[in-house]
Amino acid sequence: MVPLSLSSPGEKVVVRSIGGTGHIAKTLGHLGIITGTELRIIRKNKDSLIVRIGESRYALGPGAAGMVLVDLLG
Amino acid sequence: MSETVYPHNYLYGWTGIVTVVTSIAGLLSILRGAEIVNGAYLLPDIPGGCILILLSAIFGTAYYKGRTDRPGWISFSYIGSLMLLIFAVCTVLINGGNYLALIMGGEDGDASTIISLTFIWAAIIAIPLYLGVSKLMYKC
Amino acid sequence: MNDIRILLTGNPNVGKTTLFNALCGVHQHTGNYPGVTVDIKEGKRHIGGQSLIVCDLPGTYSLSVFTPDEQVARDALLTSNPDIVLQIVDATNIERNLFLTTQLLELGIPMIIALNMCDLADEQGIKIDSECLARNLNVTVVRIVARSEEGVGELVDSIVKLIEEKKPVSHREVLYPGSVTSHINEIGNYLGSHAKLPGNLSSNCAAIRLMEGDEHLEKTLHDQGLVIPFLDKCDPAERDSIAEDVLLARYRTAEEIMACSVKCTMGRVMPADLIDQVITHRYFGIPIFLSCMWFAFQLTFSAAAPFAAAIEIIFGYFNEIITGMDMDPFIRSFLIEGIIGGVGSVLSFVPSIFIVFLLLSILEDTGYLARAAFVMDRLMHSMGLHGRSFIPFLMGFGCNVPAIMATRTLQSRADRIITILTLPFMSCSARLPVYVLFTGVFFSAIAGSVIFFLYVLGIVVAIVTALIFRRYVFKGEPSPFIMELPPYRRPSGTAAGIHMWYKGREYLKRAGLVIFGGVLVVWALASFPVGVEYGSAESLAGSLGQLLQPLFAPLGFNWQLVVALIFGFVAKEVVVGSLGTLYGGEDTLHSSLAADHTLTPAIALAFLVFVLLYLPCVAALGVIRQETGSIKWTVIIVGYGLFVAYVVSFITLHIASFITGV
Repeated sequence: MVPLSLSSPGEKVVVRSIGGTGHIAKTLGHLGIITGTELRIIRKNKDSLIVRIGESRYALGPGAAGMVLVDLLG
Repeated sequence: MSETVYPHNYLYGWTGIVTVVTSIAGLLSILRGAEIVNGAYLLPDIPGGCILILLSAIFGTAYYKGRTDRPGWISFSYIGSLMLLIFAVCTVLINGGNYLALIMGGEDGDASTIISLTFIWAAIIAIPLYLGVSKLMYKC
Repeated sequence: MNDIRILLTGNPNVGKTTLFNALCGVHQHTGNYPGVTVDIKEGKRHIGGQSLIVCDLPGTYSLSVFTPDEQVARDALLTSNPDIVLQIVDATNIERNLFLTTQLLELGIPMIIALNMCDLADEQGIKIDSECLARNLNVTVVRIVARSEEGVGELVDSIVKLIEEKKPVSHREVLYPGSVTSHINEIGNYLGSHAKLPGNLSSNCAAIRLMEGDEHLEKTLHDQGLVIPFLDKCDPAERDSIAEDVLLARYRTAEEIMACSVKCTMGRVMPADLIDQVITHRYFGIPIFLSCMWFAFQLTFSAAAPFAAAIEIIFGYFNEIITGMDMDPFIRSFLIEGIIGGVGSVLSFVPSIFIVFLLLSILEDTGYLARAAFVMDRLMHSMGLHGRSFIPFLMGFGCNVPAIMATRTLQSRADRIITILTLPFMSCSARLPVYVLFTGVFFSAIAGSVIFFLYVLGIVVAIVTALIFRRYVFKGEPSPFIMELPPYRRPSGTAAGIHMWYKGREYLKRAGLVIFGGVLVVWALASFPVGVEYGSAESLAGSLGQLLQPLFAPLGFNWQLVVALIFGFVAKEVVVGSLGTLYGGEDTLHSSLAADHTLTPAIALAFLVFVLLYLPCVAALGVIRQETGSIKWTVIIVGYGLFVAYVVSFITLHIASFITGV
């Protein structure tokens, strides 16, 4: 499991856990980023990323990206 | 992919041409703005010139990526040519607006300033690139 | 015939405003001064003998509240008792939208789902069986394409039908795990017999809201002296795990409902991804953004210029007519300087403000603005600001008032206050005529560069302010940046046009009155006591200026400048007008200023710096008070602004004098 901030563009990953349960985790949850969600990394600029879930795209800054732990998929 | 090889090569070469044209246009604008070079056809426009140089950097990157990273070439050329076209339209609007205001104020203006040649010519050269690349974008 | 009240809700960027415009057309007004869709608009549509009153709520992903505009949406949905809830769902992205749907279903209010962007869904090969959806959820589902107004007629018919049928509401329910359900029942029963719930909220729904962690509801109930069974005894970790259970149950339900649609796999690389590669590029991203801003800036001024010229011509004409007529000089002065001058000042702003709003709408509609915020986030973070503050900053260059209102999208109060603190330093377009005037007189050749320098100075001061307040007052980092990047869309001319018209109209109403009033006050102070020479040192204005001038002596301002500054408090647009009055005529203002020996280029520069920094206008202060909710911060902002303006102006004066040797 690695934090989302360490993945590379073009990878497909699955969320294994979300650190913390504060506002950030809840906001992520409401956007659909919960355990079991599959994400595709579209772009990475140092610590911030753009990910795609299904048809939606989200930009995540370093604070948020660091909280999401993922596993590489295929 | 075979049907796209021929236009593909043609477009790729064209990217190179657009890169060179925009960089020259940019340089000329800057030099004209700094009054180092004089020419009736050029408008002094340092920021515009810098923007043209930026665009030529984008086209240059597209060219550079062309051989190894086809989607990269497509995306850079697309954005570069789209921006160039939009900015060219903006310059026409901007100069047009200024000219209109001048006339309304009762002063004389030079109508040819509406067509800021550097941007317009660069944009015209980029049109085929834009058309070609946008078709490719949706086939990816 | 009764009015039918409809709340229009849905995720951000699904086309709510487009549908709202299609439903209500020109019959809309805003509750507050407009920002970028962060407030409630109400509109009407007439059908037969009935009126549909449609309320466009801010977009939310769920009923949980993290930002003030989400609060507005939640409060409206939970407490205002609408007749119908209309959710707009983006057909290209149903699953995420369904999360909110599961929450709305539980409200027990008759509901309709408008499936928008069906055209895009078809293009992307997504097939949706709307009847299946309707059956699954037990609500009416109508397919629409808001942009072309397709399906809107059917939607309206369904709304009327739903009201007339008066069927009892029995929506699909979310299946919660057994343990959760038993607690919900327990709490629901308790609330049913003991609590006074807001609006028509059912006790069952309230119970579920509490399980999800709705803090506001909890507080309301605790204020009633109630002790919530089970929940009040749980510790935070347990509460969070319950909330998570509810969340997962909702997503499971959404997945089941998704069986009604078939879509392409995620494998394809989509054009939007390719575009993002370039626009958010590490090195190209910011230059691309700056070039767009450059053109936007230039467009605003040059597209507005012909209109401004036209307005001047028309007013010049009125001026001539009145001058030619025979009348009491006092009345003549009132008409020319007071009325015409006043209206003229306001109207000269209108073209550029409208264009700023138009350009911002277009940028937002295409989806570019979100990417720009992402690109700028790193930079903003290092300055102690949140990436989302970026949009208010952009708006601040047009007019501070909507910019301050746009801070409602920021999650943390600290972020919001710091942004509001720094916004007034973004030179709004009302200050520009002052710059143009003075740089024209004192700096002719390098006028443009001086103005550019002023803008940059404003930005620098803003950055320093943000850093100071972040480090010493608010301690802690800005909240993490999470933002949805909407799909790229071709901007619709009509939508942008409507947006521009309404925002512009609101500006005119609010600011217009203030400015016009301000000009009349200037005129009055300059004309009384009666018989005095207009705008001279003996008039009330002159006396006021001379009274306060000693305060500004270290800055070298003469009394006319001081008076202009005071009027600038009312509205920055009045500064030039009042100077015109005090120097005996706006047409000759240019030469009068040049001829005034008390003014040197250094003092002029110091004055411009003061105008740049000192305080926002009354309208902006009103909004600041409203958005921060505290008089304390408003006063701090005023004091801080004056202080910074004085100090920086002083420094500028001395450096400039040193350089120019005067």
